[in-house]
Amino acid sequence: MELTKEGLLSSQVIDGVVVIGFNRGRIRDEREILKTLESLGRFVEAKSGLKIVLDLSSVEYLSSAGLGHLVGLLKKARSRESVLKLCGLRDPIHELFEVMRLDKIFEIHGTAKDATDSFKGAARAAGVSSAPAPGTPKA
Amino acid sequence: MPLEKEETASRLPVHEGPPPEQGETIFEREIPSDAALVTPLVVRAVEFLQRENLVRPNEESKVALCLEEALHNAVRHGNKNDFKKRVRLKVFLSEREWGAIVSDEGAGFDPGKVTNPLEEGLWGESGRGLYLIAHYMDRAEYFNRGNTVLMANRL
Repeated sequence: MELTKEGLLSSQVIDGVVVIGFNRGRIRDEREILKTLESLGRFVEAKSGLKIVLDLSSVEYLSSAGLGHLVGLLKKARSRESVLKLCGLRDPIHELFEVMRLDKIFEIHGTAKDATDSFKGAARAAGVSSAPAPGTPKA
Repeated sequence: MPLEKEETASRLPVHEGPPPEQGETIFEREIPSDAALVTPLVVRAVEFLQRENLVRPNEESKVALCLEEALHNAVRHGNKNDFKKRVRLKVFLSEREWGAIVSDEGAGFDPGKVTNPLEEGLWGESGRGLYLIAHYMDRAEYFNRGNTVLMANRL
């Protein structure tokens, strides 16, 4: 399934991370956002083990329904063992996440670069933690 | 009774009858129950509120969000997207506050039975609209068995 054929979305792969954004400069219409998130849900469901960054910088407005769709998207990603991170939230939308305490379940970054870099950090951390501690006898 | 910020949507007051007179009606529109008509109405209403200097620039998106939540609730949950049923938006201005009244022609509902998204877990995919209205507006009350929501901000 090609994401870019799904209407408003655009995507690029940076260092193994699928960075997904919106094709248009400003998106305000709720139905358009919901429809787009539904397309993205189909994409996430179709694959597994993805590293995904969703750039919301074009999104000017998000309703409770949009938040619900994003939560659903995160659940789908986790069920497919993918990792979904968000970036580019405008101030009112960031506040909305804080009000609804969704910043507790979503990993949110300022920019797409911050978000993609965070995967490298996670990989490094995973590498360190999986290495045996000094002095650990070899199995 | 006005809703305090600490209170939750599950404790929103519901009144049997219609809302009492709130002041002068300064904006009034009616739409059929079509979700496509909600955002254009919200945009027009917010532009009107800005022209009247009732909404400060940093509050614009919050007011738009509350109007959109209330109108979508009326279209989807109240009137069940029945195009023949109408949704009404009335904006009023009194000496102390401005507000919006959104009403539908559905069977009504009990906000007390809507689960609180913060108490019932963060992973729910619905049920945040009432909470957001209660959070962002100074006053939020339900009338006509839940068919009408009144939301208001102090001037």
